[in-house]
Amino acid sequence: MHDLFNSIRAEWLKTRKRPAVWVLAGVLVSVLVAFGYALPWAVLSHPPPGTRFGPGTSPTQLKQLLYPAHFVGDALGGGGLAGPIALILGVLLVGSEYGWGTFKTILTQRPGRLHNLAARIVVLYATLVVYVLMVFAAAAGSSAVLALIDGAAIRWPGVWEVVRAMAAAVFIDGWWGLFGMAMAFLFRQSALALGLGLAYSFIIEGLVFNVLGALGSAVVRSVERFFPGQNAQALAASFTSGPGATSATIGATEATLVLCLYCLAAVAVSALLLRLRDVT
Amino acid sequence: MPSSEPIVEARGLSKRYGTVRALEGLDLHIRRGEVYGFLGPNGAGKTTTLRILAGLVRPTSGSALVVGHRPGSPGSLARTGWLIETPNFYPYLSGYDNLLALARSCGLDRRRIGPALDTVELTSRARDRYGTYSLGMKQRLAVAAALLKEPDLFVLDEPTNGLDPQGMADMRELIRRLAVGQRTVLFASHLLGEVEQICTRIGVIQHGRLIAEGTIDELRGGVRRLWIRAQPVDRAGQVLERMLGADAVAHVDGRFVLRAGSERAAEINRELVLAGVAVSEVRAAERSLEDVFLELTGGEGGL
Repeated sequence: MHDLFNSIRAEWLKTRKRPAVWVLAGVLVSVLVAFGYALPWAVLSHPPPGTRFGPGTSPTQLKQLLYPAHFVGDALGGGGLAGPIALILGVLLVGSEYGWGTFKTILTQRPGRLHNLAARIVVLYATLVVYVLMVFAAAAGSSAVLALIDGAAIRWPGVWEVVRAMAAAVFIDGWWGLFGMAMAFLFRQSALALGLGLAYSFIIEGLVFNVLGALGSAVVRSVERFFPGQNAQALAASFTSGPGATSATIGATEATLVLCLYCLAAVAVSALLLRLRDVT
Repeated sequence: MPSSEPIVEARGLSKRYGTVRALEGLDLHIRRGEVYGFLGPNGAGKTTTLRILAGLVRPTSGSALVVGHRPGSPGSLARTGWLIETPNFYPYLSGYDNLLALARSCGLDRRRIGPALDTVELTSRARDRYGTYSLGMKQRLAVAAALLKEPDLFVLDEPTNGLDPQGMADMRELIRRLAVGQRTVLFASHLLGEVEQICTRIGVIQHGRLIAEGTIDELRGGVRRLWIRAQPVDRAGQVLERMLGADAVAHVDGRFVLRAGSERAAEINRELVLAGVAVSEVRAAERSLEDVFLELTGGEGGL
């Protein structure tokens, strides 16, 4: 246990002093504020001529979704980038060590390989907690500013709902981070792990399921429940209030269980690869 | 003074990478307090051996003990400082923070960092980013990292690679300072001059096998030679044959080649002078380590 604690302290020092880690956080927050709040608000405040809104909806009604009462759902999505950013973080925490050759340095210190992996996972989650705090703070702040500008009443969601949503965000992002780590262990480098990981995230989980799902394919609906990205989306959607916000096919409990299994599988693959492979 | 206690013991180490045989039944015995030179041409298996001893690579067969523990086990790593191939650190961290991360991972007091940096003369640059360091500074930081654990055994793999002559001299001096008391240094290199200057015992590896092992004198062989130029030649020849025996004296290309060690040079010179012979040159003509190495490896390249 002492070795694990020492490894965590070492990994945390390396991670918190790494500029790339905070660049990722900055990108995540900036994208959320710019594309999750500022741009929609600008469009809704000054809709282009000829813009049609759905029946029974108006710009004023839609702007309600940008106010504090709904900030939890926006923060959970992280502007659509939270998952990919977590994946990049996971890849960086492992893949760079192969690139710099620092695994050799670390693994010739005292702690064993599995201690080192466990420390990396703890630090991944600790970093994601910081990311989630930043994202939730940015979403809360942005939503409050927009409500103040519009002179709308500020109603915050309950504390318990916010805490649950933050825990869910860490859990969902944690899956993507662990997936990134496993990919980096598999390929022993960052570039290929990043490329394939992001391709999977955007093409398979994003494009294929969303496009085919929108066509109402029964096959897609029965298959998607086995995919981690779809379960992550379903879990996030369970915190979003408003019409059409929840997934009809995957419940929050089922999504949580499936993601748990995927997280365990990613950790097992990483542990196996690190434990059994030579470090050259 | 080396003790008889083994600090590294390897028996029958073999390693295959696919169809490539990197090691073939290597035996290695290094005693506490030695500065052991691990010599071999490029690709002979030196780094593979060290990686196995560090626990980074698993042998295909054979076994090893490092400081009495299985390679790569916490017990072995806690008492061993490593520099394998190139120094590898985090480029965005300062030299100090790199050492701090390593100290933390080992559960070591951060107060050890200062003295380690002092020893390698990096204190003034300790707060600069590692990415800005010269190769020599990187190598020295790696030695400082090895020093942190105050280990019983230092394993240094080609620590002077890529250094300029001054950097190489500094590194040799540093290694000499490391090898004090009962500390052991395992020093892998393909640079014969370095090994000859630093090491007390040498193992020569080729094609994954240890083909010779011993002190430098043992490897050079018991037969040593002295070259002497003296006039008159016939009088000098009589004196030398009387002293050493006819079999030990030959006259080649205007000089005497004597089968005798340098410790007898003064005595021979004195006898010649007393016999009225003018001695213009006395020189030890021992086989160099390079001669020995080339004989052992069949002149294989990479040096």
